[in-house]
Amino acid sequence: MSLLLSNLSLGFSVAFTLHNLALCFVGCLVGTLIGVLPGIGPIATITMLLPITFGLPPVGALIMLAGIYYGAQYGGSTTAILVNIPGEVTSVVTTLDGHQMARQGRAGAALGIAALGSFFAGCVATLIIAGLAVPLTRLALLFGPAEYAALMTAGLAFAVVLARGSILKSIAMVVLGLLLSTVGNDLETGAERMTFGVSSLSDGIDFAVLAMGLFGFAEVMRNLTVDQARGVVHGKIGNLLPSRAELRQSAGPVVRGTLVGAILGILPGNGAVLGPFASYALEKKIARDPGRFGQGAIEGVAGPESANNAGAQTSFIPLLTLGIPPNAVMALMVGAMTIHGIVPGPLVMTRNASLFWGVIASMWLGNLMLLVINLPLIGAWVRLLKVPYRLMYPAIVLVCCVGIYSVNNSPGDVLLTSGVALFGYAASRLGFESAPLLLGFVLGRLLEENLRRALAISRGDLSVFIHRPVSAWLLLTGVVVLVVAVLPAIRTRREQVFVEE
Amino acid sequence: MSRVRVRAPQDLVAGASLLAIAVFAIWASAPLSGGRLGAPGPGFLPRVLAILLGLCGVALVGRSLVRSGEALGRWSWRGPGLIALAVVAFALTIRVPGLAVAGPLAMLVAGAASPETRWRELAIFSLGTTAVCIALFRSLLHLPIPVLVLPGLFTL
Amino acid sequence: MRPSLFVLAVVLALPVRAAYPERPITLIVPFAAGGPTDVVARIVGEHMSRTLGQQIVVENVAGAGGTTGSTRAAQAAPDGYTLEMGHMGTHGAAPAVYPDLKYDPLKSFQPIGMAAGTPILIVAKKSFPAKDLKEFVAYVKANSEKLNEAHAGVGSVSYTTCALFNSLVGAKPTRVVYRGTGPALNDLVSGQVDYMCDQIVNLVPQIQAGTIKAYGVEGGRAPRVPGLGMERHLCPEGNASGDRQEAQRCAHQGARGREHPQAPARPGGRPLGQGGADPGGPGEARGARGGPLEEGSRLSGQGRRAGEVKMRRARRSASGPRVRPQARQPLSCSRWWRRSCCICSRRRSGT
Repeated sequence: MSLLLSNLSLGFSVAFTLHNLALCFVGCLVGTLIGVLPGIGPIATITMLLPITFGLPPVGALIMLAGIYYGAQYGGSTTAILVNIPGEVTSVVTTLDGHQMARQGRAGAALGIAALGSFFAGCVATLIIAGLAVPLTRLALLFGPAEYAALMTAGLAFAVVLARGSILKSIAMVVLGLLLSTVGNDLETGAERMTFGVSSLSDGIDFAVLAMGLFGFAEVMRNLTVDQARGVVHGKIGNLLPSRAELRQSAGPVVRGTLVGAILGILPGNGAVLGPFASYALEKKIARDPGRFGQGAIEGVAGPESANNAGAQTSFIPLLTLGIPPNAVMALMVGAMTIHGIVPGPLVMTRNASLFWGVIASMWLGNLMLLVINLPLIGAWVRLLKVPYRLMYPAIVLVCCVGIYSVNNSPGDVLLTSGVALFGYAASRLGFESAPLLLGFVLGRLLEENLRRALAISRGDLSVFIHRPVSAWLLLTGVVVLVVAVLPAIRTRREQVFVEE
Repeated sequence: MSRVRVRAPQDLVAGASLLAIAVFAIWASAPLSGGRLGAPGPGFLPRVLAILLGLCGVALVGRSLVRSGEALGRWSWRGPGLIALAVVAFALTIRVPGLAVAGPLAMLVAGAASPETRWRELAIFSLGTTAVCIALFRSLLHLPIPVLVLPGLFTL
Repeated sequence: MRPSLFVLAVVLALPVRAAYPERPITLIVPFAAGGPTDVVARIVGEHMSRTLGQQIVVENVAGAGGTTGSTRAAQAAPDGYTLEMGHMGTHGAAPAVYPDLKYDPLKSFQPIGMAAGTPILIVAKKSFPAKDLKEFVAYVKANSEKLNEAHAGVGSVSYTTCALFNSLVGAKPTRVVYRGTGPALNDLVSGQVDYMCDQIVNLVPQIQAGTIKAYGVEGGRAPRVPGLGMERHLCPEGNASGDRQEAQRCAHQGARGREHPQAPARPGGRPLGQGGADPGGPGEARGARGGPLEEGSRLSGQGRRAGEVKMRRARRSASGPRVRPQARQPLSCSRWWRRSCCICSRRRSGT
């Protein structure tokens, strides 16, 4: 315990210098900005700003880049709530209830609880990293391909819980998402799958393309056709911060979301992506009146946002303790560290203790700064919503276009997005929802890779998923969640049938 | 033979579309090798998923004949079509004339999708938004987005 | 075994222009940002910007093992304003691995220079039952069917080098594919797979911490890993005229310019002048295409020999008009970054 305190104090002494504080602030600010801008994400930004960090000392550079990363998580939720466009994969769930809250005039409350929940999650995550980094890494190493495949399968079950309307249609969307994730070059054999010779598809469909198409442009299309007068926000703008009652309602979800997100974030291999989905499913299941979810329930924002931020922070653990980056952004950090002369690995913790603890302390500071930056901004964002929709939507269209183009500098991506948008419009007209499709898409690649990898290692033995205990438990959880989700629907249908007869 | 009554037209069309996509996917993944269950090849998962999708489609079609549901509703294609056109216009003009042209073009075409658009207002707003985008993406974030590219003359 | 050679194909066949460069130059990196190639490109690019007086803008065009970016570079206008940082995978193995490649590593590009070279290590999980390379080879030979070998994707460095190793040793392990070396290393550390071949850069921290075991290195000694060797690296320089010289000079200086803050002084990689020598890569490409097919990989002994010949040739001509005599100056990137990367630009057709 005293060791923890002394390490933390070392960290704070490093992080609290004027220089590092300023860099943290710049990182968080830039991160929030690019999180708000659709399409462009932390990866592109960190890449762009890497050269600027060359002249900085390693600790400072890392602090700034880390700030960009979790700043982007905050910013991504802002667009998800305000204009129903998920800035990051992890903000998809926030669109479900967050945007509904915005439409009801409670945008301020939604943004506020997102910021507060994320701050709480950040604090807890910092403590977890500081105290439990090494034992947690050992836990993460238990996860092999079979466990990941089982985890992803369980994750798919959450998609059913996400459904607002027809469960059958949600399942269909998840399957379609999985199918779309197979487009591209097969990892194992290099064979082209369903790319039809289009070179920009050879690495698969970009998440940004699907997100912009289904959520950005399709949303604009929907708004234009359904109700011309309908803007982004209906009615009076409510309070700028969540009310006391709302805070009380969100307390539980925030704590649960933090735990869920923290645990999933540690898993190397981008387990953090599942955090918000799992939290949403959990909250919906244990709520007394789950019907509120999807119509603007604040728990549907508080839980996932906390999970989101906790996962973003704990995903630093495999990087800092093992030197192995769990996702693309962390891989960039590895590059940044190496450029600055720190080779990430298991010995960084002891050899560069001041760097290690300085970065951890700066995470907490970064969360505080994000709160300080974002809370006052809520007023500005909400006022932005007052811009008449006839001007707002062409601007949304343009910013999304630029955002997609900036991902790969490819006009082909932009063209593909317009096709996806038309598809998304048609799908919503037929009663399908986009969130399950995105979830299936995101999980599909991870699921298939790990499935085939597990089978390769076990030489085709399917029972490996049952024999390994962690994997077996995860599969069981997934089955239970699926059954629990589908059962009420079957029961009501039976009642309906009886009533009709 | 009694006529089968479609109680939920929306579900019927939805199910039929799913079936169409499933058939398309099976056709598209035909050249890939499936492998066995224990050693799945590249075509294994696409085919399994396509079949699952088809089953969902069949279930939806079946349900549409039994359970009453929503009607199709009015589908307007003018608005969505113009938005899609705006995006396409952007894609075609971003590389050569550059953002300075593609931006206002996309916004104006998108503006045509709404009858409430006031053209002069939109024109000025689109120039302003494009300028902000240029400042943000190009100057602040250093992204290599072409601003004004006139081949032979100059490149920005 | 040879160290991996990353060849920069820079193609510039331009008439001498007074004021090159007049505008920013794009340096395409055909891999995701943050990876080893990208890092080297940025270091070199930053220095080149200072020397050339124009910004070098790094553009990441990742995909298909690096061939998407290489295709983009090959199809760019051959005016010297598009360079590419390639390596053994994009310009050596690619023609063999991708049947309908849209560029020719030899004809579509002109080399500017080699930025760095990295040795490849053979590593295994912590609990692997072998004490040294001899036992390792014997074990692998005897039990290869039961073993799992990790690699980072068809056509990647880890894929091709282990293919060569397996073919030399006569092993047929199950080759498990990962999306990049990060996940592969993760599973190696946790013991899910048995061994893999990868660049030294990523592996040394793990080896030093004892989470994995190293058995052999291509081409010499690896000073940071006791008991293994590593070969010195070379930065050949051509003597083409005009802009190519300019770019080469700057690539060279850029490669040299950035001193790694933590790199101890080390025996200098001396830049050697070699008239018109293409750094190893194209030779490999030739070898790769002509060689017999191995299961999934087509690197052959021919390719290896061609590469060695190139190295020897380069080494022999110890002086040339452009040799910079600072023998003590270490090569461009730090010790960790001794990989050969190539800067390429589009070759002007007909020149």
